[in-house]
Amino acid sequence: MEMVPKPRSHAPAKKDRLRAKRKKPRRYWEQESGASPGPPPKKRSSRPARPRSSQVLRRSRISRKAQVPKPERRKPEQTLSGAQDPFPGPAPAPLEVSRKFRRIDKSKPLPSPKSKTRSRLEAAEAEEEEASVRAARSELLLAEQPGFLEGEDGEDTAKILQADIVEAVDIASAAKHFDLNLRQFGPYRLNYSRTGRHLALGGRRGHVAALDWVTKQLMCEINVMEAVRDIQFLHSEALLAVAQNRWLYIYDNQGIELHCVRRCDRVTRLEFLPFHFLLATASETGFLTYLDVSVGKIVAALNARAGRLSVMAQNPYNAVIHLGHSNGTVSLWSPAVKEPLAKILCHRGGIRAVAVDSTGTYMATSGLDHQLKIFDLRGTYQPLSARTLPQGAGHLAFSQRGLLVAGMGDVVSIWKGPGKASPPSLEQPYLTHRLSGHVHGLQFCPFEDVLGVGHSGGITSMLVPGAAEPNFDGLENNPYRSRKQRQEWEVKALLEKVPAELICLDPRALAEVDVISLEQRKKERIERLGYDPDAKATFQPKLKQKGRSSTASLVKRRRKVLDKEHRDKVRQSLEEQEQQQQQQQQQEKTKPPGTRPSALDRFVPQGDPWGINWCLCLLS
Amino acid sequence: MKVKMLSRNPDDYVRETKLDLQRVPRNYDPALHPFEVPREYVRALNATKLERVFAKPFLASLDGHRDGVNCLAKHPKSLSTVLSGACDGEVKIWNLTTRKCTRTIQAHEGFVRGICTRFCGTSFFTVGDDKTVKQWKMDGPGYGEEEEPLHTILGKTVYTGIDHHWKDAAFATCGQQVDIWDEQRTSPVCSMTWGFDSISSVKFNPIETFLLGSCASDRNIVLYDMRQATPLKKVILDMRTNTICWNPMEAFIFTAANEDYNLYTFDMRALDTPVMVHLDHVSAVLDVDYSPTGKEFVSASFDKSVRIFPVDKSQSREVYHTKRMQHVICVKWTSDSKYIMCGSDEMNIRLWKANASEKLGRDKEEDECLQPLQMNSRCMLHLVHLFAYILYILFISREMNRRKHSKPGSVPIVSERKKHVLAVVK
Repeated sequence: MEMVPKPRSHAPAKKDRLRAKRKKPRRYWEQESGASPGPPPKKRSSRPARPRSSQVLRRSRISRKAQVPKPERRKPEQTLSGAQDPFPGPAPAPLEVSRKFRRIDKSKPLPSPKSKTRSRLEAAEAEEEEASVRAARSELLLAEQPGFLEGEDGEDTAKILQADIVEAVDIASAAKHFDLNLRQFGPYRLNYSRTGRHLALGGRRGHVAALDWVTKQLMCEINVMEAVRDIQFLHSEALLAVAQNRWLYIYDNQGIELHCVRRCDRVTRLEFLPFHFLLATASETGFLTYLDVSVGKIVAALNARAGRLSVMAQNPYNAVIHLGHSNGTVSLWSPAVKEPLAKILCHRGGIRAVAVDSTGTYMATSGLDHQLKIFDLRGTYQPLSARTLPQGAGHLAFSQRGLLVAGMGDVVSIWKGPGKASPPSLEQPYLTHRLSGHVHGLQFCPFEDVLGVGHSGGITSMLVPGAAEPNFDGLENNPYRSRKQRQEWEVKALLEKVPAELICLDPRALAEVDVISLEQRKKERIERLGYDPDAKATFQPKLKQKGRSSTASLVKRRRKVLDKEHRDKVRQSLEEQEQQQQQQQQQEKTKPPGTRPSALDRFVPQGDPWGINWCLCLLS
Repeated sequence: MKVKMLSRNPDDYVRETKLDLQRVPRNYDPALHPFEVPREYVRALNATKLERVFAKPFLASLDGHRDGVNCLAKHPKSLSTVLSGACDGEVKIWNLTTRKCTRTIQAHEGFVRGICTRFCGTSFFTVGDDKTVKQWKMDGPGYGEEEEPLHTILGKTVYTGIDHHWKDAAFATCGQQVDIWDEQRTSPVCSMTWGFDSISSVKFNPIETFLLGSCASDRNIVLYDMRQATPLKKVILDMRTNTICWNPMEAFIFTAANEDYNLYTFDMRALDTPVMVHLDHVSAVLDVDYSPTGKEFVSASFDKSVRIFPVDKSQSREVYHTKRMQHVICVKWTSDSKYIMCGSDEMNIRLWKANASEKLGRDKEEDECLQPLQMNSRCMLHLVHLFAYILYILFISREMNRRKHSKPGSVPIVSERKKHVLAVVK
């Protein structure tokens, strides 16, 4: 029996010896050290064991994710030529930039304790993290830098004249400043196309024109022989909606009348929602009408019940329409809801102008009380800053990088914030300019540092350094696109037209878990089945015990467990009560100090919630 | 005064010549891509609709048999070769690329009950109603030679099924008992029985190659180890199982096609509850075969349809049927996991795509782009199989009513998984 293993144990040794004798031919790219069995490579010190408690785990999840963008600098590998890679490992990605691309809010704890769901969510998080880091890294490839305007120390940029700027900049940029003297056809409204390449202008006395303002090529020019209230490009520069005295008309870029929409009559303002292909019209009759321009149907006609509508703006972030009313409120509308989504009381006196910035965070309003206010739209609707202007602003507009312009009489003032995502600070204007007539329409040109102003003397194209987003996305809005590219884009855009019903305050709501209907469905299911399939089974003591099956002990044990369940229930209900009490107390503390002080208040003892009852008792 | 204006050079953004591709600069800033969630939703919706629009799963029908097709076998080495046995004792070998029959053998008198190929692909075995096991060469006879089997084994009883070992020169047949044969011998190496009933099919495990499973008409599924003389264990279900199929990626998982319209995926280690009950068929399930990925399987049913189930879902992903296809008796998923073959009563073998809307040949890139979107949309959309759903609701309400009107606790709530397993015997 012992003989058997012997030859086996010898065999490998013999093989080794043979191998050593007959040396393996070395290739030229192999290193000497690689061929000979050297000492094993150094192992990284093993990590300390991870603690098990769930809280620590959660914290570790965040810290682990935060580490991801920091690349591990590996030891540089030897290359064929012997040169070392001076930048080994993955390229570094700045944390702040990658934060911009993040969609998941990681401060929220993961919802489900179930391991399967949890692991899936964690995988999704890791994927998202990776994507954001990659996007941040690709930021390096962006070609253009935003413009700026800085004064010498002590110099106020607001005092810099347009002529000075034109003199200082290059010829191509200087050509973007121009004035169109059109005194004949009265104050002008204007609109830039979404790529920023084309400009449409409509004069009050019927003059409608569209031009490629960069090359100064006129596409069409007509007189509609009727008052023109507003003008708006549709999804591309090929279509043009004009709000005329009676009805809404749609022209093409040759000036040919394509449609006359008689269901939209006496329209005062137009807004186009490009991703929904909806043209929102506000009318003198008080109706807000949504026209689907891809199929030509009226999606919704909402009665605002606030008289004549003449102030309208869209929120580009969530496609909600903001209407300004004469009673000082701004109401927020979606075509899916008959009532306003929100009403914000902004001014004492009527609203003159509303504008929402491109991230949907800030709203600027101006009213008849000569105030200019900036509101936070992220849930609170509180004014962030306010300023009284001598004349009050009749027109407002935001630029892509968050500059705010106000047209006051024949003057436009531009305010700028300290950073890109911050609201404009209203203390000191960034630029001002006096025009040859009263301002009637304002718009920043997308992707160009240009502000278009329509006024009673014609059109002025102003230079505003730092207004526009420098890097466009070629698949969304490409100012340099060819006809073929435009056609392709049009088809794709139409294919992914977002239904009008999806317009709501939070555009990401579709990606959230619908907890309310989930619970409703669960309730219905329980009702249908007659029992809760997910509920924990109630305790049932087993009848069979091994070795200790006395009836007394069984009863005792059963009572013990039942008592424990009962105790848990009582404890839970007590905790709930306590929480409710705390909430009540908090509410009382935060209560505003009375709607109106009344003479009876002096009888109310301080801090007594039942004071009124007490008063009533006294009275009776 | 320091001033810089945004000033782009058009040459950087426009292609130089007409032969160049258009330049598309990208900026992934989320502020420039608003409404990404609703747009993605619409895109997913469109992709799903287009998938249904372009779903053309049927590829070809191979006709030539003169009786119903009773069994199918894949060639282990050649993707284009498939073998079929019919109810009149005829065996045909098909070439799938030309969709032609390359060879016809009158193998048995009466039904060809089972057919299987040897792992090397040089020969195949058939069993028939004439109580014989025959081994045939895969290549046809030379000129002037007669078509005759390599070996013929005459048995005492009818064999109802056959399967070949995945690595060794051994095969197993079933009938009154499960016999394990050595290819070189004319008598079985060992025979195993457990109870006295006819066994309808036997299958070798492709990973743990010594394991095999069989199912018999006394409603049980029995597992054997070839190295032992006695069976391992068995599970008894409500009704009889027609066939089983082992998962080619997970050694311990198998799926059983049952007479009670359901398929049961079992974990071999815990037979008392199936891992999943697959519900959609509306008549007895006759055959089942796994995809080579082990993620999905296809089932053939007496209800004249073929269904594809994901392994971890109780509802089917796809149902294939045509006006002319009668009761489907046998089904196979091809080894490249792209096609499905089914043989049916009305003498045809049909070839289907495994992914109904997959494009064959060129123009594949776009298809791959759509793939993740469709996955998303599956999560979003409620694509309910209406008929099965209605049956389910009816069933639930019936049971609910019974529970409502009887003594509390007398109609207990039993989960669907536990309902159908009667016992596990070791």
